[in-house]
Amino acid sequence: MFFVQVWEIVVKYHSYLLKGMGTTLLIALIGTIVGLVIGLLTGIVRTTPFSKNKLLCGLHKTLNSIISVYIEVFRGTPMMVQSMVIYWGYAFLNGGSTLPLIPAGIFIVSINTGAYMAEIVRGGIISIDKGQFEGAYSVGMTHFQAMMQVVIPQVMRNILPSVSNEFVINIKDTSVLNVIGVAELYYMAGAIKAINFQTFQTYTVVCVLYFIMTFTVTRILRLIEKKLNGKANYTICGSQSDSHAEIHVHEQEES
Amino acid sequence: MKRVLSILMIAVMLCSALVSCSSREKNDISGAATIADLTGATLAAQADTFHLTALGQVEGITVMDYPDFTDLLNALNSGAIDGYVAEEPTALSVCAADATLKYLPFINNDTGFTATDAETGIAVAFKTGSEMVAKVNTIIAGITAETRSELMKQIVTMSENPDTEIGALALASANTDTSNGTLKIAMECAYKPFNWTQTTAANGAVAIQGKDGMYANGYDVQVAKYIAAELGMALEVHQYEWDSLLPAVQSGAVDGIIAGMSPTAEREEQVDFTECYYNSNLVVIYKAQG
Repeated sequence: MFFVQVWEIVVKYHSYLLKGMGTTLLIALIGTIVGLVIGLLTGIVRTTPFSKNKLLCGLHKTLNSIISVYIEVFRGTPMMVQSMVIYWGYAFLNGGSTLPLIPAGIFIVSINTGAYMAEIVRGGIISIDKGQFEGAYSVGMTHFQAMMQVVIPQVMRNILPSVSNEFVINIKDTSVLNVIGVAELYYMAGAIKAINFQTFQTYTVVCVLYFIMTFTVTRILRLIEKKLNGKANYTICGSQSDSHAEIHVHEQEES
Repeated sequence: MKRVLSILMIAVMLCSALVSCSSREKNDISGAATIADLTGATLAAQADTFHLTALGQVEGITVMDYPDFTDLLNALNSGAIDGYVAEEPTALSVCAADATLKYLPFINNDTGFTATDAETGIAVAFKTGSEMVAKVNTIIAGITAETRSELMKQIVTMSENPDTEIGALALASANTDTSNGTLKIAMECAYKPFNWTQTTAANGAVAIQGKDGMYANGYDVQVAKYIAAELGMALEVHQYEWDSLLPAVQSGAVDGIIAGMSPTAEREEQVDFTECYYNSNLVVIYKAQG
């Protein structure tokens, strides 16, 4: 009986469920990418040494404190609360014109992810050995060149597991956007359960769908990671000062 | 040795946890003729509603509250509660969808809960100071009690199979002129039979703004259509979560709320209400034993 009801939900409301999944993936994907860009920018700014020029140094320090406030505020408040404040704050300030829902959702997820990514990227940059910078400087690169050509490519590879983690978290966390009415998968579940009164059955379906999405995404990102790691006989230098800390990549890595 | 010990410890903890969650003793309330007969039962109502306050009128019961009305249904189906308070139309819809559910047809101020019309009625909300209240009051006053109950009967029938046409409804406006602009109305579209979401435009359902392929229908939608038509306006239905309904009307995102909302004193401070467009008996839904 239970499985019959579950199947009926899938058949009857597949258009809602598919639309919901599409919206969820769209918001999570764009949110993660924009968040990563925000993270990279803030990470680069925050790890750049202060300039000797007093004016530039002052500007840099102000920018750094703005970034810290942004990170602390968005990391320290729930996304659900942020959605309500941003969405209705905009409406109250603009005499009732509301933000379009999906762009609003993407915006909220992006700035949220950005706050987390900022710390992930900063961690990635400071984990790169100082010798890399020194080597780059010694061949005449500026700090910016060294960052873009030498450090960031390594950072990208190192932070990829954390980034895919964020992506998976975003797929699940878009569900809180239902408070402002974004028609993502959880919202659709709410609409369906209000029609058929079969809450448990509806959420069982949605649960499976969320798992399918997150599992597929993690597998794809794992493949990309493997590709970036290169051939089995290729050794990544994790740390040059301590040979024991080197990361050796083997063919038979756990999958 | 340490490992064995820790496994043993975990096993003991798990067992004790399982033993402590024994099944709740259930009360059969199916024979209750008045609310006084409910004594001993565990009853629930939706949080922050008059329904929850009303449960205070029954002595010797355990009162629970849940944030959402589908949570109440889950609690009942899972056996966490013996019954929950609902409006009679909701009870009709819920019981029609599940044969194991029944309801005790209490009558307000008689066998049931003591309540004023404002406490069990539902009204249209507008921004404080809106001149719409007076206009809409005239329209609502023109809907007779017979029309209201006839329409609700049709809506309850309709809610069992929303996509099947049931024919002409008891409440329909002859006015087709929409030159006075648009009337934006907010509702949850998730509170059967007052307002719900369906996949087709059957039975005069109204497309939900910005939600492709989703249509709203129900008692509230039909009343909203009637009010808009009588005002000479085109109706737009906007879907908002319950907590967003008041901000939606206060900020001006919508003109009014028609969402099965009761005109409580607290809400009256935030928005202006019209006269009630429906009054329901409060009943108790329970699960038939066996």
